[in-house]
Amino acid sequence: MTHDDPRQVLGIPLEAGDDEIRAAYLRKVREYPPDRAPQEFEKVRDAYETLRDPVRRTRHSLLSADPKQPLSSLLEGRVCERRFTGPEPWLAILREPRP
Amino acid sequence: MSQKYKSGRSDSSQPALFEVQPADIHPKERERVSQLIALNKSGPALDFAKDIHKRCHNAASEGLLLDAYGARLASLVERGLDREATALMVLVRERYPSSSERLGEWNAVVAARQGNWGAFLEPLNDPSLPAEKRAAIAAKVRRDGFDLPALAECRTLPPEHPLRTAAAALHKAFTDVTSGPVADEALALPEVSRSSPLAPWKMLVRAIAAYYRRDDALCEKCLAAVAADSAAARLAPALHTMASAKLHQPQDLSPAAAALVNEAGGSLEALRAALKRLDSALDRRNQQSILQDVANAVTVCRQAEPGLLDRLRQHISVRAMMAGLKPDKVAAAMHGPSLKNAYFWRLLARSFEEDKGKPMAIGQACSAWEEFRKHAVREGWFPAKGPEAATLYLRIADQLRHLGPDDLEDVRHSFEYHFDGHAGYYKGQPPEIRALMSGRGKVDLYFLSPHSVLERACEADPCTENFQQWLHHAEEASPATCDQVAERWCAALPRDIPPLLHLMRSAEERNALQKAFKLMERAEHIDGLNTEVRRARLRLLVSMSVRHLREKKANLAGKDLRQMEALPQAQQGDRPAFVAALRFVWCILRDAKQEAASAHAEAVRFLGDGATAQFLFLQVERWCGRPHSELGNPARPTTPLWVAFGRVCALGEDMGMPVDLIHEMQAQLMKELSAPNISPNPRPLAALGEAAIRQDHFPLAYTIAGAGLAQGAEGQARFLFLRARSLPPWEEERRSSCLAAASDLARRQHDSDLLKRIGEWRDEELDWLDVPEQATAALGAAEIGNIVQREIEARAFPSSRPGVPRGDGECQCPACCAERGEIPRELMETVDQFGPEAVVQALAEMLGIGGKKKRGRHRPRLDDIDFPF
Repeated sequence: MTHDDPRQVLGIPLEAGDDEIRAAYLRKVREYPPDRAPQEFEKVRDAYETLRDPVRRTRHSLLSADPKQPLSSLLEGRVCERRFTGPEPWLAILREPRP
Repeated sequence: MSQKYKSGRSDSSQPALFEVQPADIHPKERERVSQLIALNKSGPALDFAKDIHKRCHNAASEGLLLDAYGARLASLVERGLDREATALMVLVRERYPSSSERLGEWNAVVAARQGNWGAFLEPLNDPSLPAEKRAAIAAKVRRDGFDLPALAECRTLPPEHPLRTAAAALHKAFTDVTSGPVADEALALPEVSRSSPLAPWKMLVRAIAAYYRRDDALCEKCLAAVAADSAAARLAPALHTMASAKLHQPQDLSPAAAALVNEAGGSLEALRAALKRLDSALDRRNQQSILQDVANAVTVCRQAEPGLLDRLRQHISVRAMMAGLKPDKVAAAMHGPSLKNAYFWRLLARSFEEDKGKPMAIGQACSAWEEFRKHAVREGWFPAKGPEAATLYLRIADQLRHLGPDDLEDVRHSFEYHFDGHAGYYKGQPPEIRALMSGRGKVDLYFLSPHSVLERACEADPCTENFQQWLHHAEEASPATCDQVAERWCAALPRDIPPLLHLMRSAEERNALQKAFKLMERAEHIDGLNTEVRRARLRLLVSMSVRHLREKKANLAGKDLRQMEALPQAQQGDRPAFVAALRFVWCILRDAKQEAASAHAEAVRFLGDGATAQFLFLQVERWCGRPHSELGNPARPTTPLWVAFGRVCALGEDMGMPVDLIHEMQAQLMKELSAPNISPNPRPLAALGEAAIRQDHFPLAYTIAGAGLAQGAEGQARFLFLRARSLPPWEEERRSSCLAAASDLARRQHDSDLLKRIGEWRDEELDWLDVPEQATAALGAAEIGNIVQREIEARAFPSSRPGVPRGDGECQCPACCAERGEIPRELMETVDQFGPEAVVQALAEMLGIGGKKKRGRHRPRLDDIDFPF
């Protein structure tokens, strides 16, 4: 885990409520138990501590934007979108002459 | 035809490849031709076969030549050179009439290549078709059968033919999996048997479905099962690349495969590289490079990750602004301005916050937060009222706290005259965003008024914490509005005690004791066990009874006294003596001398010392506006003066009646407290010190602080604070270190009351001084010990500033300068720095001789000590 954003650490969307946050926390604790992955567990716990308190959660979600963050970090945690194209781009490969 | 091969062939000096009779084909020659065909070298195979036929010119050599022509035709068809293939067939038909049967097959192959499989597949209808022919057709279908609709519509085969049904099912499945999510049932494809020449398509369809489901392991597994020589296998490299970028780099792919990867899967690597280049350019602040890299990053993003484009533009806009680039140029490089939605305004506000120390940047941050709020509410981030909106208002208030009153005023003026509601940012924005723009002159500048901002925070989320902040701000910045804030708090949260206590104290200060009492009763009704409320009842009853006694309203005073005596809290400590003293005055007022004597005796009994009782009665009678009543001979003192008077001071403090020092006592008190080996009780000593400070008896306060500090750890923080306040202005460093040590000790002892007092005093007294850093820095235990030791040892009050001799030996102390008719050097430096008007005003304020006074500010009078100027 390389993210510092507690929501990314727990893998939850911005609009996640108390139940979702707790469920995500328990899921992550199972994934990173303190005896086997202490550092990751600490991150998970810190993220949960931030998000479980409604005031801190609100402050964090509203005010934590970092204008100086590297632009390349916008891609962090972003999975390449897999777009449906229809059959044509696939068939275009088959229509190419064989090498 | 290969000229290279021809030239080699015509060279008669070269030995023949195989030693053969002219009319025969050597088996090795036949084998060689077959090898070349198998190796896909149809050109050399054809040239070699032509040579053989030229030499032999018989049916066998013609057959071998036609085999080579067949391979050549297949190669041309394979490469999409249909026109060349047709021309070659015409040539073969003309030259070799025996080729008519083969030409039929070749035509079928060419037609199949063009999607017309009818002729090619027709032989499958013949049940007697040899197995090898059937296998050859199947192999051709597996290898080249990618036009599934054409196979499914092949009219030379019956509709129920397995090849047609399999092709139709695969065509539908292939279209479905490449167009959207599909159910597992759609991938079962029972129409396609394992032995079908189209079976590889079945695995390909499943691989594609797995890819879109992000099950890359299954995708790879299915791809591994696709026959390598099949048409379907030609899609594998692209699919591998999309599922795992490790296997194939985009440059290894054909143009169509690369296009598919970009369109269906894409890769973020190119975008990542472009963004890293842009980050680097922004860090270097190389403007030309930044603009080029911005354009490149936007272009790559549009291709690779169009969903990120808006966000990227917003970040670029803000980063570029921070790097000092002109917005128009950046917008041009991005092929349009960034979207000014809530996300943008939040970034912008944060960027202004990063520009610490500039008042205008703080104003701009506040205005950007306001824009964020408007857009966030419109976009549904949060409702207009609620904790989120309140959080935002509190953030604005936090920002404004960094501005001093003058700076805030300047910023407000600047906004009033120049702020155009961010019109530049709104240029080129969609109508729904422009709809939230405030026109010039129509902007509500509430975000530059801490009071309005906090008011909005409390309206958005009326909770105790928010009202506390608002009231605290009002107390600091505009005391006149405090009661109004407390009233609003009471209205919003009727069961909260703090606003009632505030209103009660305020009424008390205005001498509106009845109103204060009603407020206290209301607070008691909510929480009768609250310590402050309990203390307030006793204090108010004391104040009311003192007022009634002063106004000679004996009945009302009697009622107050009875209430007071019934209170359990009036029975604690020395308080019964105080109540007895009040009763004594009440009795004197009613001329009930017997009862008065009894009350006096009672007070003496409670205090255990006649002299202490004497001082108490003296003070109580003074508060009640009564002359001192002598009752018999004055009591003989059994305790030192400072003990007796300190105890009265502590009792007065407790009851809300500050005790005044008697001028004649000072010398005696100084003498007693300067003596070595005294063992004072810290509480009365501290109360005595407060009385000394209150009446500007700084040398006495200094001595008391020294005596208190010498007694050990108890009360050290309070005595350090007392010492700090008693020091003359030129002892800046000592005062700062005493304050720092007092703060630190109070923090360790969790003495929030003392911390608050230190903070208030520092705000009031030191805001105009250049306070050394030490005043706010945390100290270690050893440092605190050193400071305490230094203050204990410094027993003499620093009554004059040490002189600093000049180079010519003349003393530079203010007194010596004044004698010589010179202005002290420090004053000259200050005048140079701030200008004469500011210095005159500051001096006037310090000396209390005019100028703008800060309300509630208690400055020490400095006329009785050696003032530096």
